[in-house]
Amino acid sequence: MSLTRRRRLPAPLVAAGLVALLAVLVPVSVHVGVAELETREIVRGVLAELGLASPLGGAAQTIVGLRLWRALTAAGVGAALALAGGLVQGVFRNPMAEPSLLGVNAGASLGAAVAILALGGYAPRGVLEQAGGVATFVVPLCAFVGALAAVLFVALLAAPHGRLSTPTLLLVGIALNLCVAGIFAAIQSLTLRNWEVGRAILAWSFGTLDDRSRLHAATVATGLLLALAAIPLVARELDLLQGGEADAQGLGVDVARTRIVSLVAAALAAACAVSVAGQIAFVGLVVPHVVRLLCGASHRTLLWLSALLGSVFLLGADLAPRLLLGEGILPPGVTMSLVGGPFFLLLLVRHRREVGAW
Amino acid sequence: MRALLRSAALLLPCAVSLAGSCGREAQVAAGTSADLARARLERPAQRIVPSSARALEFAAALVGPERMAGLPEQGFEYATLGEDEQRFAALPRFYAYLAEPVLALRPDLVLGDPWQPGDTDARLRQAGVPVIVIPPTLGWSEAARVLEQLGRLLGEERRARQVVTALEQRVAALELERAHRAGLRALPYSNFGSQGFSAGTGTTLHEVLVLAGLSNAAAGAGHHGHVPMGFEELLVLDPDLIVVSAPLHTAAGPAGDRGGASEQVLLSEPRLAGLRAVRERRIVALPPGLFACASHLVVEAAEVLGREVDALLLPGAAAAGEPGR
Repeated sequence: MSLTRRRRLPAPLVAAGLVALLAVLVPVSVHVGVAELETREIVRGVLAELGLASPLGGAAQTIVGLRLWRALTAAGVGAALALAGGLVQGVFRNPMAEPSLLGVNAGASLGAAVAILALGGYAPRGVLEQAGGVATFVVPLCAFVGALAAVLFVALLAAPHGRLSTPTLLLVGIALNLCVAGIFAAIQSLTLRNWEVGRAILAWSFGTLDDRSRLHAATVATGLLLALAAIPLVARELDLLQGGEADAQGLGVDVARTRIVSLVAAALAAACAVSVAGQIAFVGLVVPHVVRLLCGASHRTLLWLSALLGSVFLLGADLAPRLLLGEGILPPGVTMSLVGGPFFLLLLVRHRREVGAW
Repeated sequence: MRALLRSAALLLPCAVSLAGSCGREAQVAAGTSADLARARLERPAQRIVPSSARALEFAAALVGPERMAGLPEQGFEYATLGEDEQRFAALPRFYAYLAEPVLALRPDLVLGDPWQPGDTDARLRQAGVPVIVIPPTLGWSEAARVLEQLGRLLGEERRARQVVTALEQRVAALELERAHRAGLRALPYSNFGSQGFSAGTGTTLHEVLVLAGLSNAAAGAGHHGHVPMGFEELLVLDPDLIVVSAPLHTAAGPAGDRGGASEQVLLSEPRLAGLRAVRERRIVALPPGLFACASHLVVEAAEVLGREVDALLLPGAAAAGEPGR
């Protein structure tokens, strides 16, 4: 991936446009739902969620809270996945790389499946009494632990003597994905007999933003903020790394540090995102490409703008089917796959010349 | 061109052989109709293999285990066999509805199911085994028709008539007692920590609720089939009671044995604390076999549900004939 100097649009202008879009999409998302609520109620409910007003009566406050945290979780997950994608593509110097290469998605899937199995009664006696009380948090928690465990496993195997090898990391990541995919498929196959548990595992693998809470939003915000904090530490270095490892070292880049910081940031962001929203495909792959086409390939703008565009992308992908088809018809992971793939193909076809230069 | 001709020469015998096998399948299938209403057997089947839980429930209502060659593992887990369960438990089981394990049981009749792979049906017919597919049923009247047709097929018309008559009497009894539950809005619900689901019209759960005299809140909201249901809609519907499934696996202890994860989610989620059914602990757990039943056992599911609802909501109402709300 060579560094393209030509920028199609000024980054600040694109950033301002994306912030404006976010400022529109979040309120619209909070406005859309099954319950009919007046705008005045929604505004007061949102302020109450933020501790700035007294809560609404009855179920209205809970409903506004559900919508607000869903919108913020969607925005956070989109940003985290897109940023993780930008970081991973920068480290691997490969535009086809995405966070799942680190084993994040595979580990999270396995963790979530184990939690659902435990809740489904497959765990030893007494586990459900303990886990059932916090069932809606058990699945994301186990997914998060699974994601981090998978990343650690990949990192340990890829850096046996403390020196991280990118090709080894790539191969170990692919191998782990295959192993976990096998285990996950075995779990799905075995639970086909238990249709409720099988359906719950399948639903998680489609990705979901239903019933998100303050804790879900806080989880993804934590991962996102940590990853955003890493941008100033690695953006310039990643730009220099695109010309080759030796050249970057010659220019004073600590390549090992850049890789580790970038991958840890990407892994944290992706793990937090996947654990609260399930499998959401294409955001980490497509969004950095769109930013490259809009504003060029410099990581100093690419990473920030990817986070912003990722927010807008996922929020839109969550909102559009809810507005057009109704609640619960298409999960966001499915929408992303349906829209993301063809959109990505269209981009590649329309911008063949620029893509050839990456 | 030469390569093309060589490929054609290689493919031709395969195509001829395939066509031959199709013809053989048609010949075997012509001996009987796959349609239960028109199917006839030359001799009453003595080694019946049901392919699913519902096929097993229908068959077990008419014949004993002595006329069955084996059962599907899942079918045995989900099927409600009552007092005969121990006798059926001794039968050999197969894990998946595939041709080889089923053929190994040497069946003389396989009771197929539209939900099971049609490929297996075709392979079994090809091997000379009659496969009669039990049509999908929703309500008890469709199930009663299937029982009568299956009774004719198995040479058990009298037994089928007895079962159907008993069913009619039970449905009549349900109609009498369900008046005092009229107006109660119930919601089927399932949540294992990833996403919530409910069931609207076109599901056997809906039929069970209606048979028990309850109105299905999901159907009232316009839902058809099994649908995802978020907390927001749950709060908007605010049903009088929620119907969940007890877990299929019962190793989870006393709470798990009751309503499993779905009940735990409802009771522990702070955002659902305002639901009437949660506040007043109106959560009914049906056994998994009845929660998922798709046979004449919808009547039993409605009876169990009715009893549970009465015990929970209307301790004195059944006797006094008071209205539900």
